[in-house]
Amino acid sequence: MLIGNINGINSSLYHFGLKVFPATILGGLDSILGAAIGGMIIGILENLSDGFAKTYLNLSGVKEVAPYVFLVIILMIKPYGLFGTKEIERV
Amino acid sequence: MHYCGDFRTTYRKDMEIFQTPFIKVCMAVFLVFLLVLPVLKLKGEYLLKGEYLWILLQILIASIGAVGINILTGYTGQISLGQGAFLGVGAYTSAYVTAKMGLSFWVGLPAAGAVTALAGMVFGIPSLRLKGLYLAIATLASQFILEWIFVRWESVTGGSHGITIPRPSIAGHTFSTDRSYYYIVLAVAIVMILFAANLMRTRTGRAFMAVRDHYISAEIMGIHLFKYRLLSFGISSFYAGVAGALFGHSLKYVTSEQFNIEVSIVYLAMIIIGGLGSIMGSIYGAVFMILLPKLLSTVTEMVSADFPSIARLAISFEHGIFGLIIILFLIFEPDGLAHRWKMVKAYWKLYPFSY
Repeated sequence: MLIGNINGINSSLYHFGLKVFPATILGGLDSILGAAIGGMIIGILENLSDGFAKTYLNLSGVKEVAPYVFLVIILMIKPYGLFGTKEIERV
Repeated sequence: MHYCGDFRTTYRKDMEIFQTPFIKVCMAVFLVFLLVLPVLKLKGEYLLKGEYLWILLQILIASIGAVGINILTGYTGQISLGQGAFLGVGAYTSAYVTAKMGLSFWVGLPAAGAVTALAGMVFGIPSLRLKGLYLAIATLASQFILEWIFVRWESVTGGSHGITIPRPSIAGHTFSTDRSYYYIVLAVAIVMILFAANLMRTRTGRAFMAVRDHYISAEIMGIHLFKYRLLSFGISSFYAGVAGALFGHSLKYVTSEQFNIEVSIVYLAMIIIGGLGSIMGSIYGAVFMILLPKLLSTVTEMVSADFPSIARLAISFEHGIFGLIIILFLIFEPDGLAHRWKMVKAYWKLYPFSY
């Protein structure tokens, strides 16, 4: 609803819905605090990387993929997100 | 599933793809049917015209892609939301090779498979450490990253304008009509599907299934997890690449919109509806998911022709009904069409003494 107020409602709203996934996964699936912090980190990194790419690499539109790239990199280092609890598995 | 009086005495016999003479005859008849179907004529007109032939073509192409994602998701248990983008990689590779480098389709098709397999393996690397939902999101990321590359890497992909590509040709003869192109697609599909069915009987296929059933147990038994997961991503993407290339050549035009997230979800839906971990299931799923929207739009057209007053309403309900059918299907048929078919066969095998 907040997004609806800012951007107006249209069918491209689902794109924003998809962007929620990187945020929650980044924070860890079972951590509410993680989701909030993950959302902020994703938002900041997204806009920062967009700025950097525009100024130094002359690339536009990095904004669309930056969250996903960061997501993959962070998940490679921490498979359960930043604050998610690690599952202990037994055979 | 064994018929009465059909006993196996050797392991070799047990491993056969076509196990009874009856099934062999059935497959042969089906193959002949597929071969003659496009050229059948009724009163001087082709039985399959225009759109119907096109649907058959798309079903064959989707079967290849669905078998590919079933190898990854159904057999190896690695969920993937990036199949649509991998189709795109295949289509763009083949388009670049044929349209911009001027090479033949027969170079473009394997090249599409190889490049997509490579891309799939790169995006499969996170599967080493991730599983379940986390892996699903990582593959979703690959979908968006690849889609972004399609739009931005203009020197290769033609940006948002796309690339126009030719139909394949052999020794000067161009397969320009859908009817002749169908045979190329059919040949490729048969080879690919037989290869997949055979793959699942080998050491590699059994390793895939072991990884799916319990990856820690599999690792303890000496299966190199990383190797087999990457291999699975590679093979699955190879299938996606070939399917994408065939799709691109069938449309003669490639743009990034043809390979968005919806395509990935449709492919995932195909194998869930058809049956996870079953080659036939992927084909049933492909048939179902391609036919259902066409069937619905035909029904909608008929309804709006008879009742013009609710035409607008009917059209807007079309997508809703599509979703509803899929949900109902999953509730009542959670193991997929392949499982239902097995149950039907089991019923008739023992009929009328079903216990």
